[in-house]
Amino acid sequence: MRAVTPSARRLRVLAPRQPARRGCRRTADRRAQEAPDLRAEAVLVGQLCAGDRAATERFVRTHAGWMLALAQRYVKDPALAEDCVQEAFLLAFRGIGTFQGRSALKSWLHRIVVNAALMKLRARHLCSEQPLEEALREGGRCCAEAAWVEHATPDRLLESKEAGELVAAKLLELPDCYRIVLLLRDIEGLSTEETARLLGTTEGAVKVRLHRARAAFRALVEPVVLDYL
Amino acid sequence: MASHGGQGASKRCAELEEFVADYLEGRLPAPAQQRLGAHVDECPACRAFLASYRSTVQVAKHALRRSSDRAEAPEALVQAILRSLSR
Repeated sequence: MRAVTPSARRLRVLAPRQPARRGCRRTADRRAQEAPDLRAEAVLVGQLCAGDRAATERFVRTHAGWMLALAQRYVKDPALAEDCVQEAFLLAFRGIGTFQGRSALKSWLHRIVVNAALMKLRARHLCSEQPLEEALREGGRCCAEAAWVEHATPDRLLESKEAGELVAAKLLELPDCYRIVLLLRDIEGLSTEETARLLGTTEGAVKVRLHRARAAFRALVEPVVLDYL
Repeated sequence: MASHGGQGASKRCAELEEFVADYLEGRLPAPAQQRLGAHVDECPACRAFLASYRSTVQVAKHALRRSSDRAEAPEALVQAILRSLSR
């Protein structure tokens, strides 16, 4: 069994701060629905610690799907993503006795999966600098900017299931070193400093890669935006 | 790229493009932050650029959250995980 490395212990995923919105009942209702039932989670953790097989199977079936999707965003390769998920569950069960409920169980698992994926990437040297295709390098200002701003709020753009899947697929077209930085900074909400530390690089390199990643992603997504306006 | 205000505006547009990530996070030195902020107030093209830059992040988050919500793990993986946990 592999020990949890110091870098794994250091991984922290900060949830992006949401600005307070007065009177936004829809947002509050949605958050209430998504908030974990902490008492039920405490019961579940107890069952898992006790080796309850039915609870273990329910737990794996509940979380394996999104964990696989998360891992694949980082490592791309489906087989490698499955390895990450299997390793993440092993790590989770090894550490379940220390889970104190300070975060939701899903958030805790999320951090474990991301760390498992980053370790796989480091082991395979998949995070080294890679060239961007010419077309993506020019994506500073995209042609559809005005239309994007006017029409493409996320809900409107992505109420189409196909559009959402296309956008998620476009992210996988980014070279690894740009995609990983975009995921860690913009999706996971880590700071530049934390991202640099996790990737073993400088803050300056993170900033440059993030800027290029966002520009390239916008260039990739632009055709989807135009198709679904 | 917008150049409606002559060379000065173009220079500011280019400066914003180069430092957009730091500008949005308020990490530029105060004079530069203020200079670019004033330019954005006057430049519709740069306002559109910033809005689309921010939207890119929102679009990515939304798409990834929805795709994760719908994801299912293959049964073979679930069984492999359960076997490894039972050892």
